[in-house]
Amino acid sequence: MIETKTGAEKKGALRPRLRNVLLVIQILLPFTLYIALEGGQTLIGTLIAGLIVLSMAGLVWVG
Amino acid sequence: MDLSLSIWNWLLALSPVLVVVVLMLVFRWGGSRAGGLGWFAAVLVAVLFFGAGFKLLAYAQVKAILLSLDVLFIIWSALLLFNIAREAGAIRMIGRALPGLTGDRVMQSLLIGWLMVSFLQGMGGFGVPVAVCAPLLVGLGYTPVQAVAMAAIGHGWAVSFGSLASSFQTLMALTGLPGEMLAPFAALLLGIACLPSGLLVALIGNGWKGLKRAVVPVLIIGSVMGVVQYLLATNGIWTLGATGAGIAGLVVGFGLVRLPAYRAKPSDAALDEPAEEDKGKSLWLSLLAYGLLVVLAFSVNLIPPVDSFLSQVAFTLEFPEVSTAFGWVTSAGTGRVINIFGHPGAILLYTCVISYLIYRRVGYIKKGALKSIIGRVMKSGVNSSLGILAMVGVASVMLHSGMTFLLAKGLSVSFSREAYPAVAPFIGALGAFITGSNNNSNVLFAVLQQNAAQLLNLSVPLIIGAQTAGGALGSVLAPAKVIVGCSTVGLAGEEGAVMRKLLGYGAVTVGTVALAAFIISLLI
Repeated sequence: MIETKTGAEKKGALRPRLRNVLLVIQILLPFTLYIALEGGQTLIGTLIAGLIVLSMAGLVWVG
Repeated sequence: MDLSLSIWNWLLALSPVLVVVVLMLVFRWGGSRAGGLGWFAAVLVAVLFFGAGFKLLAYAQVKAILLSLDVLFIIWSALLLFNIAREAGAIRMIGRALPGLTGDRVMQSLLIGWLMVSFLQGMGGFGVPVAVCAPLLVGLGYTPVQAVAMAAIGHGWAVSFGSLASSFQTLMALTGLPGEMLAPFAALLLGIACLPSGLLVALIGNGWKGLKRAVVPVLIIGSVMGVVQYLLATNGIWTLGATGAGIAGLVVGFGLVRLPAYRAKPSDAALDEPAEEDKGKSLWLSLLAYGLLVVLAFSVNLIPPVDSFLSQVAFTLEFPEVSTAFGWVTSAGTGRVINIFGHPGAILLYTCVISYLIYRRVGYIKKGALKSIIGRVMKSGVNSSLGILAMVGVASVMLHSGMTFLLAKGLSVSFSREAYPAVAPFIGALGAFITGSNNNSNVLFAVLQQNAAQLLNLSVPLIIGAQTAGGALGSVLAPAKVIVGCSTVGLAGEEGAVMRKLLGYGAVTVGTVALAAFIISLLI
């Protein structure tokens, strides 16, 4: 018998791993952002800020 | 639009907090998810209405991470200590021993949920009392929601003079007033708050009958703790205010349960045979982790050479001045300083390592148990950490864009001279609710409260005392702190249920301080 997982089940299974990844990202990104800002790298800083926003969106999605 | 005070601006400034509170209380979202959406709300409002630019938001987020790491160090270490102690059987043993000491459920709840948390607040910082004691209350048979609510409400009164009075030290530094001038009213108001805190612990755990039964012991123990804290604080020993009061409370509490009226018959559970894995174990040895924590915390905090030796390595970042388009300026300066080896989290970590080695040596923890301990720590720690990162992010964005200041300013100018003393504690509580910290609330609002008191010709020490008392009582209601408590009792993601319970009780404790400040202002 073939078992198919629903979207919610897949999300549930992925959730703990995603949370771990999100935690690491959310701690590291602001430090890289700080280094970029202090080094005057505005473009890189903007990209990192975009990633921080995406990680927050990920947090709302994962819950 | 500018940063001037209007009802529209004030509501906008409040909106990120409302988003978090409504999502948690009404829609029952977990702290991390609600915090995430609250962060988006804070950023949007800051950019669209408060003139926040890219650099301001970026540096605000970096500062938030630094603040969060300071807290997460404690949480992860506290979780590790708790799981090591649990693996060694300490939690089960306390759950059995306390009913053996007294079968009186009200006294059991007061001993752990009011006295022990207050004592731990004296030494530990952010969330440690709840993280340590909530699981003990669950072990005594209270539900996880009750346990977190009891431990949170039980220690609020001890926050300002707890953690070596760091919040009070902030108050002195910011207002420029000596501790001798500020301590009397702050200690008086917090001493008064001690009584409803104890009564509420009894009510949450044991219902109205429990509350009735708790009146006499709470009056006796609460008076002793309030007086001890007052005497220590007003005699220049404010750093030990809550610790001394907690010790005095525990001594009187253990004395009371020896009296026939409060000893009661040990419960049947206490008389049962111990669990198979706990047979042959000594209660005192299983409690070693917590005893060691007390010894290490005292050694580091009270022996200056030890403290200075451990404080040699610190981590921080320098931040430039940032301002909004409307002229709200955050000065340049150093971010949160994390004292790597002298940090409360490090002290907890030393305790973890030493106690784990001893437990292994005496056979209380079996070989291979470390993997399951770390697994449990990860499970609780990751979720609460994400919530705290998001919540502190919200607070930092609000602070840097001037929203938090506007909220307090709105409250301070909306009330008459007569009413203001009753409002001041709520301003302190609001700051602590948003930032999750009495200390941060004092950083935000102490000067504002001082200015308001001077303008209204009110006693400055009274209003500052009301500020820190409100901040102390409000800090235990903050989502960031509730998340910490929930993480240790398996309630991660269900923080809304605890907050719904806590907010009503918190209104009672803050309201009591407000009433007391109002009455005192009429008398002086």
